[in-house]
Amino acid sequence: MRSPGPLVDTRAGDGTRRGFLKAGLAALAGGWALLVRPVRGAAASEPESRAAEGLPRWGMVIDLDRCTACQSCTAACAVENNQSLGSVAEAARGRLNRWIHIVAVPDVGGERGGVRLVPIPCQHCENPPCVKVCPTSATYMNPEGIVGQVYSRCIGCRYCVNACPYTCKYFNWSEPKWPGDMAESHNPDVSPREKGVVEKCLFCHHRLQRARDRARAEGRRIREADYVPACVTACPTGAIGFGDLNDPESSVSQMAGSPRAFRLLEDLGTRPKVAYLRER
Amino acid sequence: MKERIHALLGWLLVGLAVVGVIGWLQATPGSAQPIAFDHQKHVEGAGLECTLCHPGAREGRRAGIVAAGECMGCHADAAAESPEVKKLKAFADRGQQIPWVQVYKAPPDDSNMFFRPNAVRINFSHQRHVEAGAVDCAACHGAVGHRSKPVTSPELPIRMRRCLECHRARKITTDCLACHR
Ligand code: HEC
Ligand code: HEC
Ligand code: HEC
Ligand code: HEC
Ligand code: HEC
Repeated sequence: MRSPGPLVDTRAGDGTRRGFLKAGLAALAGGWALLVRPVRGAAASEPESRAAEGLPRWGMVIDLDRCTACQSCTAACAVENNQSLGSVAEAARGRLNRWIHIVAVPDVGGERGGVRLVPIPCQHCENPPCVKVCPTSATYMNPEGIVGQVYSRCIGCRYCVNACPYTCKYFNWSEPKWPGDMAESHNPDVSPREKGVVEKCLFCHHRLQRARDRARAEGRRIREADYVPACVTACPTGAIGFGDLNDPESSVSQMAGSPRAFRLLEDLGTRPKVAYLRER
Repeated sequence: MKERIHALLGWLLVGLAVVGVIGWLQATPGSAQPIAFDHQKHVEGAGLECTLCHPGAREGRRAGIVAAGECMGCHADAAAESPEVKKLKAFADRGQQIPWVQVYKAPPDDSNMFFRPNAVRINFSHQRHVEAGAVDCAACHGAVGHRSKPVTSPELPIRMRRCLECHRARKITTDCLACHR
């Protein structure tokens, strides 16, 4: 099973074993970052220079106070992106590929107590650990901040799967097979990943391509409402927001700047572009 | 003994020749398309626009080929005696789709019997290139308009290198995600 351990909100830190784990992880990541920085020093200053180029910076906000953990987003994402069905046996071995998955996080500091269910898509880090370890550049950050995965370039070494602190990279353990004629209802804009490659959430990038083509055909610029990932449209409570973080007017920028906002494992220095909201 | 070997070699040669002829016949242009269509007569001869018969190139992702009924607008009269046009008429009368074989194909390309990883899937839109980008058909398909034989093999291959060369020259995106999915 995927361990929900290191996924706690950093502010929930206390003297528990979890806190210790987090501190350890942070120290490890810090040391690693020190080692890696001098070689790839450019990464840190990139977003600022890109803002100057006028490119968008796609980001997401998930409001945990609205989220009911109904998993509509998980289902919508699976259908939109031709994710393999999986089986009970595979699920038991933690081999279910769901690009936005709900993780049960013990709500240590929270006033509600108990468990908090947190939907976790790829966090599209500004400083992505998965990109640093990829030996073939199959995973990389595109000019608009989306952490991409080129399946035909991926050799399935799974370094990135292990590097991702959010467990948001998924290895295909089996051939893509669907019962009956189910494969005919696949989304033609998304490839079914073959056995042996790693896959991940791309913020439904194919929807961006379609939106661009449409906007270009109509001779206008792309608007915020043109490009919305499947999980956002599926959410019944409107808990997920999406848009351009470089546009200070966009709703997602404003929400990401809210006092309720925090990011997962902030102290790792990954600088996610997915922000979470919750009442302190 | 020597004669035996000569006879054997002779028969071997005959065998090879037969295989060669069969192979040549199979590869002869014209055998792969249901009708021996002639681009030159239409484009240079009749002065037709490419998008008259491939309307999708302007409007959508796929260029497409118009249905037999559309061809009959001219061919009720034009070259009505030609055996190829008679074939065309037969398709039109039956209201059948002409089973044109698609030659230009971006991956996933099942026409390649050799290794073609299913994970290569390309995002390509004709409209984006022909209409928005004002790219000439010939840039990707060569001089189809001069061709008097049916298109049975691509004149220019669909290769990533060729996509990128043009994109770089014209300062269009070379981001992997734009083409790969
Ligand atoms: C605008 C009118 C027009 C349209 C539309 C048209 N054709 Fe033609 N087609 C011609 C003309 C003109 C010729 C030349 C006749 C000649 O040179 O003898 C020709 C010649 C041909 C020939 C060769 C006849 C021969 O043996 O020389 C074929 C085959 C043919 N057309 C098929 C088609 C098909 C298939 C379509 C539909 C995709 C089509 N045509 C659409 C006008 C048209
Ligand atoms: C009169 C109709 C007509 C016109 C005009 C026409 N085509 Fe075609 N085209 C066809 C037909 C029919 C086929 C299928 C038979 C063949 O492959 O030769 C075809 C096939 C093709 C193919 C190969 C498609 C594949 O399966 O990969 C290309 C490329 C193409 N045309 C490009 C052009 C270009 C470029 C022009 C303009 C210079 C043009 N066509 C003008 C009717 C037309
Ligand atoms: C930038 C390169 C490019 C240009 C310009 C281009 N094509 Fe294509 N064409 C392609 C590619 C790539 C494919 C294969 C698409 C696929 O497999 O979906 C293709 C496929 C085709 C096909 C067969 C499959 C289909 O989509 O129906 C036809 C017919 C065709 N092109 C006609 C045209 C015509 C006519 C024009 C000009 C008006 C044109 N193309 C301009 C790259 C181009
Ligand atoms: C001869 C030049 C040329 C070639 C060859 C070419 N392209 Fe393009 N492509 C363009 C132009 C010009 C545009 C921009 C169109 C516009 O202005 O919207 C473009 C745009 C695109 C876009 C949209 C990019 C965006 O920003 O959304 C994609 C995707 C694309 N091309 C894919 C391909 C693929 C795949 C191939 C190879 C099969 C290819 N192109 C070959 C000229 C070319
Ligand atoms: C403009 C469009 C375009 C862009 C940008 C692009 N590719 Fe491709 N790529 C293609 C096309 C078309 C093919 C299939 C034809 C071929 O194999 O050359 C392909 C094929 C591939 C293949 C498979 C080759 C094979 O034969 O299996 C790999 C690997 C690949 N691309 C990696 C990348 C990577 C990594 C990037 C980003 C650095 C990238 N591509 C950017 C169009 C593109």
